[in-house]
Amino acid sequence: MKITVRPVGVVRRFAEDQTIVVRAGLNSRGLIRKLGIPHELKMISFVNGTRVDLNEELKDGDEVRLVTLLTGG
Amino acid sequence: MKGNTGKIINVNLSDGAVHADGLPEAYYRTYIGGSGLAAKVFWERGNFQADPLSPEAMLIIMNGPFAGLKLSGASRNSIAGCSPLTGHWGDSSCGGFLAPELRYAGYDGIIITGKAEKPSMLLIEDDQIRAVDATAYWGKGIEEVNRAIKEKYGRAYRSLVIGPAGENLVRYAAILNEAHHAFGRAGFGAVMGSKNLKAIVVRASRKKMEVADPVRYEDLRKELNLKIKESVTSDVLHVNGTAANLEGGVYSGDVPIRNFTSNFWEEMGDALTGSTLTEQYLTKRGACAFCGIACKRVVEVENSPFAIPKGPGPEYETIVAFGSLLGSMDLAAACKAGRVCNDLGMDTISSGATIAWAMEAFEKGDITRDDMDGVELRWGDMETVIHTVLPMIARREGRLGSLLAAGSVSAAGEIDKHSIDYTCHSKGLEAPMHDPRGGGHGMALTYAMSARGACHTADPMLFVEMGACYYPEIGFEYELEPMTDEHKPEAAVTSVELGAIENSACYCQFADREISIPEWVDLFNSVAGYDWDMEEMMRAGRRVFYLKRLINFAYGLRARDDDLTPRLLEPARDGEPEGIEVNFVGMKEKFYRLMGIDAELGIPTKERLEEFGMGEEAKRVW
Repeated sequence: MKITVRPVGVVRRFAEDQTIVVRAGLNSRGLIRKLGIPHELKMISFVNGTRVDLNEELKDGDEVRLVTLLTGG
Repeated sequence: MKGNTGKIINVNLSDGAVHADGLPEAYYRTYIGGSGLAAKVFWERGNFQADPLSPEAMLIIMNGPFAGLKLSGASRNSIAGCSPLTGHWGDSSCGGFLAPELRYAGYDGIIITGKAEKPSMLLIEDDQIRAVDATAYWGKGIEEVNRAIKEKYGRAYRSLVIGPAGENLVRYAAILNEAHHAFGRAGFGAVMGSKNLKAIVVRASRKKMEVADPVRYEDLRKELNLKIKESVTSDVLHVNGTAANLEGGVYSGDVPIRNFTSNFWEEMGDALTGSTLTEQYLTKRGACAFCGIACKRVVEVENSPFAIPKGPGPEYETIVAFGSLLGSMDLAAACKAGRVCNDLGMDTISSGATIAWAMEAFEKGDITRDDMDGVELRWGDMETVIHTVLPMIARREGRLGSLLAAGSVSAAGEIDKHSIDYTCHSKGLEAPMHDPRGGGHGMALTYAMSARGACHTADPMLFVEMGACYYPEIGFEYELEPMTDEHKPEAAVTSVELGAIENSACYCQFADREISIPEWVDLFNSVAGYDWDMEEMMRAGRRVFYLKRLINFAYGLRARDDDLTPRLLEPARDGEPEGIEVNFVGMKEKFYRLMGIDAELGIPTKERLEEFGMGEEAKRVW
């Protein structure tokens, strides 16, 4: 299946905007691992604009925004 | 004594008396240093009846035991005393270059009382300490005075300077080190101003210090510096600064918008974030002394109504306080506002937050043009903020200046009309730029329990909730969901201890995330020569947390004051936290219970104080 990945903020340092083909049944947690985003970053995922559990399966055509909670200042 | 020097400078500006003496070693072992040691000094010697802007008020500058070490994150120190903004305990932490210079000169701190007859500057050159005339600097901006000091004495002289806001007793006036690093919070610039003290300048002729176990320390130093520099967080902070993930914060609902009335504004995130600052305005990265992270920014803005020459750039807090909080997504304006606040000597958080409150009051009709000397305060109108409002506040000019220079709580009290309902603070200190409703409900506890008032650096809850704090050695391994109350009171118990340790050790929270508990203990033992174990170190943190509460109790604060204003607790209106309740009362009750804090008085029980070796302190309150 095809999904569109849109990293947000700091996550863009580790992954670019892209549309990729992934195996059926992949969830956000698996996607984060596949993209090589450092495990130190606590991640949250928004699928088609809605926050989802990282273990929720993605579907063909989904747009996934990946956000880390890293913050400072 | 190792690490620390054991020597403190005592200055009475009224008669010019200066002498250096020692503090009991037990103070250091029980209250660590920095704001913890300052609290102990204040508890023992402070005049609790004195107005914070009177000559009798005490201003304390205090290093931690690691000042002067060539260690990333160790070059911070604290300024503390009674805050003129809140009227109770206040402390303010800052990086830069003062802490190591003071340490090398031979001192752990400076205690200042009295009031000089004329504008003065305290000049410290090793054991030569004197107040000198600073009349020529009075009325001038911090950049100019810092430059003049360097020209007169030399670049190696390290400065602390106040601006016109401090001279004019703006209640949230800041003190700047090297015209770049700010002791921003709680208004100690006004305390310096009230004492006619324009600047403090320090120069040490030799740059050496002794540690208890040089071999162990050197190994540790190399390990920690490498670990800190190579961490993902440090890399992110180095490349794009403290605002590096601002747009990520927008998605999670952490970034406040228009006086905390909104939690989502997508275009603003991209416009104000750290990578945009890097691409558009960054000319150089900067660092505090000996730090390998280098999260500081040097910026230049050209071809803009808000053009500024090359110089200090804004941190995350400043970008948001003069960006989304005021309804603006103009990054150049935030850079300019930060520079103006630095030069006038005003805390960017309280400045932005007070103006945000005034903008909402203006929008609601609770204040009008007539109240504001003809000035209209509109969301996003940064030209008026920068060119009119900030200078008027610093000069306390007109009704606008005098009203807003007192801070949002005082201003709301004066105009009334229920405008206190939309102030955003705890204990009189305006909230920083992390909205606990979206950033994490544990932050609501942190804001409310912090002795100085709403503060995101009082303890590392911000990092705990984002999953960047794991200390398995002490059983601290929470996997927290930010927008719930689950496990937050339990996490807060350890978090406030850790916060007290890092703020007393004067360690940067960005760097010390990489230091494990055993490494912390090792650092204290190898530098200061203690024989601490993990339990003893955590107990010291707990004592510091408790002592600041006792000080506030002496100022009349009670459990009811450990609170947040309605705006910060009502369900968010949009974004990720929309509609979610914050169970603040439940979290507070449980935290109190776990900490042995009396539900009415807000202080630890007598038994709990005695359990932590604070029997003498207990006698004064129970």
